[in-house]
Parts: sequence; structure tokens; C-alpha cells
Amino acid sequence: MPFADASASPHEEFAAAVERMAARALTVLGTAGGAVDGPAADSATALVTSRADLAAARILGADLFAPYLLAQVPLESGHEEVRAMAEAFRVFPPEALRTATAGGTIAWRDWAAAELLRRSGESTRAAAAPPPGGAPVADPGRWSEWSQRMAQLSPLALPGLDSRVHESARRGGVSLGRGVVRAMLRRDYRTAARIARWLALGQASGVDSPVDLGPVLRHIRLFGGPDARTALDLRVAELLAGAVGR
Amino acid sequence: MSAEVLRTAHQVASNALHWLQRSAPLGALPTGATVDLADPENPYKPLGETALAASLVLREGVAGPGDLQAARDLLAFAWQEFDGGDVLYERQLRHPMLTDPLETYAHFVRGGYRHRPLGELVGHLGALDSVGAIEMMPNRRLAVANAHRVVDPGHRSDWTALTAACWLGATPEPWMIDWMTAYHMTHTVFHVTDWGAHPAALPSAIADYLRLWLPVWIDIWQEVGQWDLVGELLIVDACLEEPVCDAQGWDRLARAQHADGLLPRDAEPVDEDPVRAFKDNEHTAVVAIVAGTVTLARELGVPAADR
Repeated sequence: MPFADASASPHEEFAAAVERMAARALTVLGTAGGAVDGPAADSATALVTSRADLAAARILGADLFAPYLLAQVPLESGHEEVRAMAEAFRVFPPEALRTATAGGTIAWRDWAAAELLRRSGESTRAAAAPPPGGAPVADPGRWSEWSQRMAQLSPLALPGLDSRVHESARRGGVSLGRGVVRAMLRRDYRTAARIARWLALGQASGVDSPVDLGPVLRHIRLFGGPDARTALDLRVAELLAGAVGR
Repeated sequence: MSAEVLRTAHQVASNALHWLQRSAPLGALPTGATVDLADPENPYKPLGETALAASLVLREGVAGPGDLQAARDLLAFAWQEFDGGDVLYERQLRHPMLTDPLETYAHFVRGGYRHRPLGELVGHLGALDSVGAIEMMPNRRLAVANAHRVVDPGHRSDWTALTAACWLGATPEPWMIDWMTAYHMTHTVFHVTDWGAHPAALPSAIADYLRLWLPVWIDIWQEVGQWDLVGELLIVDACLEEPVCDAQGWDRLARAQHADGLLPRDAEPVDEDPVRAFKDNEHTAVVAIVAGTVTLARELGVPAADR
């Protein structure tokens, strides 16, 4: 077990597993997506070695598959990430998470991961789940709350996925831009990177961003913290915006 | 903008105006003040800012009779402190390269006062290349241009070039703005529009930029209780042809305002010493008066310049 520190609390153990999983995705992105300097991770190590790793897979959600989607490599049931996610859904079924966390954010993230799992040919009960109903995507007119909500939904900002959340992002460019600027000014680079992903996704499909993403992403890279999840959000945004090396 | 917001804006401004009027004696010039002011920042500069606020209340004429009288009294008090303009005249004679006598005088001109020798003096100085080339920050150069325009509507400046030289003129990355830059940005708008009198004078690219990002700036500075700056940003909003901000900024200012009308400049505790409390927060009163006045005037329609 890579994290056999007996003094670590379950929370610390989960957080470390999420970081490791995100770093791993970053490394794969580096191979598949042409990035050059992601955090070092030993991709020879098995993806999942503990229950915490499975929880981490559920937390990362669709982002676990980001390298494949960005490189336009079809997901297959033989892929290690697919097997890990399928197992994670079995050990941590969506219902258990949904009851523990308020609102539709988790439901939408579950939907995205499950939808990708379904496409890989993996047949789990979760993979058959329809998109969440009701009105979980708040009004983009309330730009501050809405953009923070979209930050939480950043794993959905991947090419190939489409839903009411994506539709709402396409209509909410101004609110996303304001959300990025607010997060930047508050030096909350994690939130900034997550919202910027939506703008980058829009830009990749021809929707103008109200804020120039190249300088924003470079700034986050230089000023943001070292955590792998932010680095992953950032890398995804860079690849979507075509901003690498600009 | 809803009637509710307008009521709030009016109330905050009116309370600030009466607080400023009651406190005005604390801001008097020291007896025997000479043109070589020991500290031009205090109380000379704040007295000019009081004149600015009062002149705008009178220019817009959207306040009630009690507020209009308070504004007239404040302007008369400040003019008297400057010996009917002689202090400004003497200071300009002694220091022809200084622009603050002109800038201060403009507020009185806006409020209906004139000092003919000073008017002649600043007109002459304003035509000199040397004075036009004084080294100063770009937004300060706009302040001088606006003062000349108020004193002499025939005065011409290259507003396009002056505006382009400012931070705001570059419509730069909105996420890089800091506290000081935010103040510079607000003053670019104040001077180009003469405090909301000419909203259309703002280049459309800048107006579009402000409509996009002003709500974010108000949001982040209200979060940290920078009430003085929030007030300035609300003035900027009211200087736009189509203001963009919602009720949040005004609601927060109203909640921060004390029962006696004092509006704290920031989230720090207000000093218990009344003189210190006045000096610390008088600028914020001016900001609140201007913000409420221009907001009401914009909502009620015709820009002052077109009346």
C-alpha cells in the first residue's frame, strides 16, 4: 500500500489518494495530449490499490477519463481507468453519495462518469442512469453563485459530453467570465481554473470567451498552488483552449 | 434599477450629507493658513472634496429641499474657508505649476461661485505648453482637463488621447486590478464624464468593458468591507449610460452606515475620537453623497449636461 501511514486520518488518506489519482491522469495527459511537465507519477504502479483509491476515482469522476477524451481515444472496457471506475461505482454506489451531499452537483458528476462508463461498454447499474431531472442548473443571471456551481461541475467540461449543464454553460459566457475574474481576484486559483475550463470548452467549439484565456491560464500556472487537481483542471483548460506554448 | 434601490441610494447619500454638514467645522482650515500649506492633503484637499459633493447635489437638483439647503451651506462654508477664493488665487500665483488650485476652483464654479482673477489666471496657465506637459499620472491629467472644461466650457482637450493613456484606456485584464488601480480607474470615468454629466463621453469600448467587470469588482470589495471603494465603484456605475449593478452594493453600504450618517471607509472599527473619526471617514461621506446623487440623477433621466 503506497499510503500505509497509520497516523493519517481517513480524510487525509482520501485527499492523498485523490491527489495521486489526479497526478496520474496528468501524466497520462502528458503522454496523450502533448503536455510536457506534469507532476511526476509512477504510471507503472497499479491505478487502484486501496478502498481510498476507489473513493478517489469516484471523486475525480469523469476527469479520470480526461486524457482519453482530449486525445479522442475511445474508451474501452479493458482500460485500467474504466475497470477502476466500474469497481468504484460498485463499492460506492451513487445513491450513497447523493444522500450524503446536497443538491444536484454530485448527481451530475455521477451522471458524467457513468455516461462515459456506458460508452466504454461497461455495464453497471450506475451506467444506465439517466441525466438528473428537476432544475439543478441554477440561473446564469446570478453570476456569482452560478459560476461557483459550475466550478463544482468542472469534470463535466470535457469534449464529447453534452447535457443541460453544457447548454447552460454555452449561454452563460458572461457569468463564467465574471466567475473567473472574481476567483482570480480572490486568489482562489483552483476555482478560477475550474471555471476557465468551461470557457475553454466553449472556445473549442467556437463560443467566444469574454476573458482572454491564454494569460489567465499562464497566471494560474505561475501563481496557483501545487495541488494536482488544480493542475489537472488547468491542463484540461489549456488543451481545450489551445493555449499551451502560446 | 428598482424603486427600493433608489430609496436606499437616496437615504445613504442624504444621511452622509447631513453627517458631513454637522461635522464640517472639524474640517476648517487652520487660522492663518498660508498658501504654502503645511500639509496639502489635510484639510485643504478634503475641503475641496466637500465642495465637489455639494456642487453635484446642486447641479443635479434631485435632492429634497433639506438636502439642497445642506449642500448650499456646505459649499458656502468651504468657499468662506478659502476666503472667497483668495486662498486658491494666492496659491496658484505662488505655484503656477500646481494644478490643485484649478481643480478645487472648478467645484465652486460648478456650484455657481466665481473668482474672476483666478479664472483669468488658470485660463492663461492652461494655455501654456509647459503646464500641459507637467509630469503626472494619466488619470490626474484627465482631472485637470475636466477642471478646465468646467471653468471654461470653451477649453479644448484631446480626450481620446488622455483617456487612452490611462489603465482603463487599455481595457486590460480585469483580474489584475488592485486597490490603488481601482481608484485610478474610477477617476478616469469621473473626469471623462464630469461625474456623470456626460455619460456618452465614455468611449463605448470602455463602457462595454465596465458593464462586464464592474459587478465583479463591487462584489470582491464589498466582501472585504472596502466601503469607500465600493461607493466609488457605484459612482462609476451611475456614470454609465446604462448602469449595470444590482442592489447588492447599495444594500451593503446602507447596512454599514451608522445611525448618525457616518459611513465607515472600511471594515476597521471607527475611532472613538470624534475628530479622528471625522478625518478618517470624511472622504467616504463625499463618495456616498456623490454616488447617491448621480445614481438618482441617472435613473431620473436626462444627464445634467443636456438639461
